[in-house]
Amino acid sequence: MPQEKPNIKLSVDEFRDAVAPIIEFLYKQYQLKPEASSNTPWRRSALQISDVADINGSQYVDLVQEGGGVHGIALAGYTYVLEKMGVAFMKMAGTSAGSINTLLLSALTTRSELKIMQEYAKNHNIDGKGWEESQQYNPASVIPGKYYETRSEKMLEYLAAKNLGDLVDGHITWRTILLSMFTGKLEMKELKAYFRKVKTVTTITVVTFIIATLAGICLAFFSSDNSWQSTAQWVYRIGAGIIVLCLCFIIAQIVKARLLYRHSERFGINPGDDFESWMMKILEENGINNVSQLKSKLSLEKEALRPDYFTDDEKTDNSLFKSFSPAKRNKYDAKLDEIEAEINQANEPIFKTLDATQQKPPANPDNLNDRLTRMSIEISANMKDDEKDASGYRLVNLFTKVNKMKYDKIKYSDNTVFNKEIAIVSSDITNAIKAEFPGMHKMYWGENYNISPAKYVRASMSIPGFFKPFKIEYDPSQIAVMECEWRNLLNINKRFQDNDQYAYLVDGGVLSNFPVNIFYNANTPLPYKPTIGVKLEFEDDARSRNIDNHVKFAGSIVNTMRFFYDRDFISKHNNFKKTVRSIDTGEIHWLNFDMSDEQKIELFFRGALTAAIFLLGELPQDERAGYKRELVTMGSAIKFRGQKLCMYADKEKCSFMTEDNSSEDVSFNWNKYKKDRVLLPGEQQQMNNDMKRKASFSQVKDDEPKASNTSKP
Amino acid sequence: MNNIEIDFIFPCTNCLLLTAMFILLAGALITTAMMSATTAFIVSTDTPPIAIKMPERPLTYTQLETLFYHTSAVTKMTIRTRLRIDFWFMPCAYLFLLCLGFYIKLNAAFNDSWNTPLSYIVYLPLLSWLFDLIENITAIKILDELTHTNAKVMYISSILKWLTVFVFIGFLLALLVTKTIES
Repeated sequence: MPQEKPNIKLSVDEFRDAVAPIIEFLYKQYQLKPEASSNTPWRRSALQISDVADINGSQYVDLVQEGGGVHGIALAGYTYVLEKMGVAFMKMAGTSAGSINTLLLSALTTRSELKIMQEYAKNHNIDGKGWEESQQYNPASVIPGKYYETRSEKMLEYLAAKNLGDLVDGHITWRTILLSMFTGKLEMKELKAYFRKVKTVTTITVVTFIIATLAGICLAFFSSDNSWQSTAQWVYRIGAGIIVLCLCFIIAQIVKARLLYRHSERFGINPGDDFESWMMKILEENGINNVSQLKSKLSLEKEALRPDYFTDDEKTDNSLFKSFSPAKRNKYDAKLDEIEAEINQANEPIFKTLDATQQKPPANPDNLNDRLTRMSIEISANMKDDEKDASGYRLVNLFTKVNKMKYDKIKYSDNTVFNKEIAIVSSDITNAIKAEFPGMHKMYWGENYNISPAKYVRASMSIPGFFKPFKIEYDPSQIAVMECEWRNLLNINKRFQDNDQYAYLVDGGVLSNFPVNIFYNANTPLPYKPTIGVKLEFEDDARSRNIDNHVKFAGSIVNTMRFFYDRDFISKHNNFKKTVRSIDTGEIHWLNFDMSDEQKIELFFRGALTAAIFLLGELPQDERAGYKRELVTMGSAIKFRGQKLCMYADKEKCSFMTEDNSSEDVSFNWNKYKKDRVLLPGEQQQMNNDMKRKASFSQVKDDEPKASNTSKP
Repeated sequence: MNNIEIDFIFPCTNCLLLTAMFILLAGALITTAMMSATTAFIVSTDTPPIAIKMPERPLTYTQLETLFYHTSAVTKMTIRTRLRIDFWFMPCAYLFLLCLGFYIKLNAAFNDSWNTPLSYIVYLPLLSWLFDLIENITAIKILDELTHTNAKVMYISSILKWLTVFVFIGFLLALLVTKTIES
């Protein structure tokens, strides 16, 4: 049934009210500390999710967001809950809808952050004097408007004000077809009926043609006085008439199809200009007119908010580590003692020693790191699972100290640590590579940074066929810089020819819809902060996936190519299962740009609900299932415009699919995560060995126990 | 010198005319279907877009000008396509009318008061075809560049086209009505 749209515009308050019970629930579990102006890092909530915090009380995580059309609203719900719990984002990456959220979250700001940045700019004379305004972000230039406690709220303000249907900016005929198709107004059975009609008319034409031809042949054989001749004559005439009418219908359909094709853009139906100008307008309103200003804003944020390595020693050392302190020492403890002594010595401040020349040179943190990594491989490969934990936590403790040494070293040298970064993923189909912006900016635009970052997102969201590909026209004056960058970044000796004038970029989802591997650094055994991933649509492994028609067949081939690499990375890096969550987006189609307000609220709620379930990982395991049920039930009565919406088809069943965090393998707890992470290299090595054995068809070695005789604990 | 009058009538004239009329009518119907298929794509750039009906016949120059500036490039392209199909429609439709005129002339016995004008009027569809051609050519020119001269030529040729068509059809109808009353 087509839904009548009310004239009332959605407001940020309506989004906020819909998820208020979830926020209230989380506040009960993780109390917030009162806001205080501080010059040192602190944590705003009792939730511990990272070892990096800033003077605004935010803890930092890296965030990767999956693409999925209008489901992007659910991503906003997810980030809203995280932000409300005092989480901010250091590095962000995304594809398609994920890239929109990535860019907006990096370009927007919160009320308190803006205040801190404006203060910082004032104190450091960053007031627009003595700099090129076109290159620098000036917090004072931002239109005051209405800022909120979270960036996600500001993002929702823009989303609520925008008629998403306008983004489908192709010809009116296409627009009508597409919007009707994905809202369910034009049902599949109607399309099928249309094609059946075309098929029937074609059949009638062919059959009538045969009958009329036979009648024509008969005319030659019957004499004029034969009564059959007049019958044949009439059959011939009526047949000819029917054929003409049928041809009229068939030719009209061919003309319509031809015109539909002609009224789409080259290589895509919609031009996507409306989207680009909408994004540009948002960025301009927030003081970002070009890439330089975005870069400058991110570095100003770092300078003003001062994110720092902030390990909550008391919590990590005492409560958790002591609970795992082993009853007896194992064979690795002596080696770990030795490394710990070296770390402690290296941490002794040199100025305390009177005669610095007699001081033994401090151990190199990289060397210590390597030794600890070797130990972690040995421990995870040789110890039983139930014995690993104590050593694992000890390793975390030691790695934390080494990390601190490394951090201090970088902090006082080039200060490149904790830079705010973004990565927007797109697919360059001209040069056949995965493009990541702004990292690869110079490969396409050379040193011209005077373009809007909205172009990155326009490139990332060009769903093939739906939007025309994003075309980057090369600037001949930048070719030398571009060639050099191709060599530097990809080691490709690119030589642009005279007819290489542009590159076509399409949706990043073609190659990597969920670029979760983007911030992974195998050389960092213990990360400073986790990488949180948000996926759209839950992949239910228990669902039957029979390929029984050509559409499914083609779709499955495309999906396998799109999702394999991201999925493969997660399966090889088990600990990402703890930080990646899928939002169950229900029955709303990802290309339904004509969503009702209720559907937008539902998507937002679904995102928020998934985030809340994710945050339950800090709570005791036996209580999580109950809390999850409580949260999921909230979805049956979402407050919206004086009504209570139910997002479930079956109100009693309340079916909501997301990763099962009742299991310790999936639930996220920062300290446990760190322990698993330090033991990961050993597990990976073991997995690689298993894979090699499988690949070479080799038998189980004689000295290894037979699989049937052993069972892993 | 004796004048020898040869009154030669092709034995199958009627059959040929009927066959030709059938083929031409079929052609006219098919091209009409093609032109009507383009209608959904001829819309203005207004918000919301409005279907442009009879794009070549707004009443005043100002209206034509407004229409011209509210038409996107892609719609202009569709109008051009429609006009191109019209070039195929014209021979079918006007030759059909011509054949119809001849068929009526050959098969219905009229007195001279009808017969004399009919022998001239029967050629009117050719004149209509000519005016339609001029109208279409100027319409295509207008799509590229709107000028007062082109607009005037288009208006005049359009009026003359419809005038000749109505005179022809009106005459044939009057003829048939008279014949029916007489019989």
